[in-house]
Amino acid sequence: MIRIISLGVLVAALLINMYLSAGVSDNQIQVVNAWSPAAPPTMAMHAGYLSLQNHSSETIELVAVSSPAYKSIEIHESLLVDGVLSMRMLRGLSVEPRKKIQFKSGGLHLMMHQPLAVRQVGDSFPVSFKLADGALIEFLMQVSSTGLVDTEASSTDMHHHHH
Amino acid sequence: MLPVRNSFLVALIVAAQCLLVSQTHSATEDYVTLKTPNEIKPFLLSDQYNQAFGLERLKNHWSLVFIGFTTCPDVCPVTLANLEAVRAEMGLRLSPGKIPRILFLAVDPDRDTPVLKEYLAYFHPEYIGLTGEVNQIDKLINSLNAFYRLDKKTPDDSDYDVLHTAFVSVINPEGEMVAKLNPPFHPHKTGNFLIQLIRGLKFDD
Repeated sequence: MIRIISLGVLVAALLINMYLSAGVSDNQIQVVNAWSPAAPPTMAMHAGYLSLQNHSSETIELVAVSSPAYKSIEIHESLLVDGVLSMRMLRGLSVEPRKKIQFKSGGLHLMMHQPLAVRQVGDSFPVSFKLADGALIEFLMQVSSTGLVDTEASSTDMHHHHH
Repeated sequence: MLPVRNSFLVALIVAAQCLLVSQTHSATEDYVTLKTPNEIKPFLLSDQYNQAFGLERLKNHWSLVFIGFTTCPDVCPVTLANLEAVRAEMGLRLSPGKIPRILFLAVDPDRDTPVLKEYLAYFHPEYIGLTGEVNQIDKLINSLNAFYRLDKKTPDDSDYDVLHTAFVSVINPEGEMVAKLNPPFHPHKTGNFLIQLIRGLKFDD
C-alpha cells in the first residue's frame, strides 16, 4: 500500500515537474542538487540541501517552503560562533539578481518537520518555495545517504576562498 | 585639522582591530594538540545498551568524543558520517587496535535516551552513545572544556534547539584529552593528523 502511495507521489511529482518545465520555459530560478540525507527512523526532522540560482535581474524573496511529504518546512541556518553550534530560523530569504545560494550542512538548510511517510534512500518527493509575489518554485528532492558529498563541497568552497 | 587627525586615528584603530581579528582567526586551527594533556575527571554515564560507562571504559583505547543530540538534523548526522570516513581513512594505515572509537556524547537525555540505540545503529554499529544524568554529563563536559545549553524558550518547550561546542575531543588510552579537532573534519587531513598523533609524531600539515 505504502509502495503504491509513494509511486503515486512520484508520478504526481514528475507530472508537476514536466508541467513546470513546459509552462515556465524561461525559468529564471533554478534549483539543482536538492537532496536530504538519509536519517535514522527515530528522527522526526530532516535536513534538506540544494543549490538555488536566481538567473533573473530582480531580487527574489522566498517567503515559505512546503512539501506534501512533510507537515511543515522552515528555512534554518546553522551557525558556528566562537566554536559553538546553534541554529536559527529565517522568516524568509532574499536572493539577489544572478546570485546562487547554497543550502548545505552547517549553513542554510531546509528544516523539514514530521515526514508523512517512511523514507528510503533513493526516494524523491516534491518541495516548493513560495515567492513574495505568490509564484511557486517546484523541485524534487532526493533522499541520499549521508556521505562525503558535503565535505567535498565545503573543501572546494574553501579552496575558492584562497584564490 | 582636527577632523583629519580624527579620521586618521579611526583608521588606525580599525586597522588594529582587523589585525586583532585576523590573529584570533588564525588561532582557531583545525587541529590543536594540547600542550599538557587534560585529565578527565571521574564520571558515570550509560552507553546506548544501558551499560555503565565511566572513566575506566575510556582507557586502553583511542577515542573521539563528539557532543550532540539525536534531534539535530543538520550538523550531527553529517559529522557522524564524516568521522566514520576519517576512521576508514585511518584503517588503511593503522592497526585496528589503534583506530579511535567514536563516542557520541548526547547532551539532551530527555529526548536522547529513548532513541539513542536505534539512532547510532543507523550510522554505525560500533559507535558508542553516552548519556545519563545531567550532573554526570556536565562532569564530562567540564573535563573536555566543552559547553552545551538546552535552548528552551519556555519550561515545557519540546521543540528546542541545543547549542553545543563543535569540536571533537581526542582521548588517549590513558584517558586523557590530548587534542581537539575543529570542523569541517576533512577525512584525509583529519586522518593524517590523528595517525601522526597516535604514532607519537608531531603533526605538520
